[in-house]
Amino acid sequence: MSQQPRARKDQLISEEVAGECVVYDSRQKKAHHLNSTLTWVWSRCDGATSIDAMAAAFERQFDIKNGRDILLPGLKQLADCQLLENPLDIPYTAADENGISRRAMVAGGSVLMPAVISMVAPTPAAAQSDKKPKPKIPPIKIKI
Amino acid sequence: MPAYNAADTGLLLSVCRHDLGTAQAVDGVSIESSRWGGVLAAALDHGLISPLHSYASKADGIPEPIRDSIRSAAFAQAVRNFQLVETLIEILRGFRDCSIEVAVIKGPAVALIAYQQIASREFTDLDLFVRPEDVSRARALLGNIGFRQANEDPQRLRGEKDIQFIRDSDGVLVELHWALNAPAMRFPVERTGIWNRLQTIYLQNEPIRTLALEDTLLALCIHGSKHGWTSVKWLFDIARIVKCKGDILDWSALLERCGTAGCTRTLLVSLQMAHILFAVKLPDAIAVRLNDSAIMALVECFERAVVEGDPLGKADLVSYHILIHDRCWDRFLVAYRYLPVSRSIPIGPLRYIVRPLRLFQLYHLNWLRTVLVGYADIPQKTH
Repeated sequence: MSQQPRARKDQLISEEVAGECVVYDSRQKKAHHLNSTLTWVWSRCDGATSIDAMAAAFERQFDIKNGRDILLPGLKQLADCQLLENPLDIPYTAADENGISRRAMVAGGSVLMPAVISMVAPTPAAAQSDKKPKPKIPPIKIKI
Repeated sequence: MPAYNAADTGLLLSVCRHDLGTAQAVDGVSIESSRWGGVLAAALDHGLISPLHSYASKADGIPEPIRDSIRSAAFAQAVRNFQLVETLIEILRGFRDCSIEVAVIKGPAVALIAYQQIASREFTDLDLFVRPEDVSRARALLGNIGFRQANEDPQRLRGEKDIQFIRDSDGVLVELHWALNAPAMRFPVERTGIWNRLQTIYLQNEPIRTLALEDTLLALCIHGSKHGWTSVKWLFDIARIVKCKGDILDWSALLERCGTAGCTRTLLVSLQMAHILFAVKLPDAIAVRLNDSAIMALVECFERAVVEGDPLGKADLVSYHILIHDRCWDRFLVAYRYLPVSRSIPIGPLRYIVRPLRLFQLYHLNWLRTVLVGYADIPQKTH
């Protein structure tokens, strides 16, 4: 079990949009929307930083105590979404069914809670043609 | 989708200026926060959800349900774009394996060039640009990876510039272009040597070829003009390129190419529109050329259409398509294309007058150009 989480890169397309990360997993055909806290956590999963070091950095970044109580549920969510390469030895007993412990709520308040919205990505078919501009004047077809 | 009005469009433009960094504050936000529903509708209609999302993520006074809708729409756009990019990478690998030179144009390329992000610019299909002589091989390749031709009308190929393909399994639409503009549009920008100026950009660490920066800007100007600027995102693309890449853009080379292709007016009108709507500063080389009453008249006509959300009527658009050309000869030929000619074939001597007219409408003087400069607008063996 690794305690230095590494973000998965393979078969993922991701970009940060307005401080939040949108991830498309082409292996599972799923899309994930990470909130700003979880985006911060995922971006630190470089495979070299330990969970303890990450927690300390989290506390410094957001000026809170007990950063580990927020970090662990976040890492669990990332692991559940298969966005980490290695399985983690996370004390799940600290988290409730949604991966968010009461201690985490106290530590960070609701603003800092890591959250992810996941969905099975629909095909792009629905996006076709309805938005596609149509020329106002159709091409002239003439019989010879 | 709720309706929106000119005031909502005005507010959206204000948000875009804020996102672009050309305006510090968004006009009217604190006064009428109830208007955000209309602004959202306008943003969805004009493909500008990204600047609105960027603004809404920081601004106060936006109702929470509207903010959530904006966030969801931006998320959906990003996912859709990523799916298209995944397919694009698959297609480009196929082209590379078959040694077919291909350039990615419009959507994803504009997203990377103008926004430096895939997620931030709406696109709904993939546009590939190949040399005319490679069209047959490219068609076969697309067929091998599950695409079928969406438009089976071979008549269309004769005077057009692209073929549409669709893949039924995921609904992805691909347009295979062999020219940037239909010959009837009279903007032969390919002849300025765009293939020699292609640039390489990186899409998810995959190198892809696309038009040079100047050519991308010119293609956007022509494309928006063709469609009568019915989507404000095309002007926002132009504004972003001018704002973010204006310093490295070779404006004199661009003007020279426009002179060759007869589209200086198109460029100037588009840039002036971007300047008016998004407050981007135009370079001196462009600004000095805008003292032209004909150009300003065209700008005024479109500005009204965009701001008031009232697209140009058919007659106005035809007039615009004619007047946007630099050369009288091109204007004449475009005007000629729009002349209604009876579809029935007259019997008797009149036939010998009508028939050459029809032939001319179809082919212009392409045959003469082929003889003189060895250039054909129509790819060989496309059907």
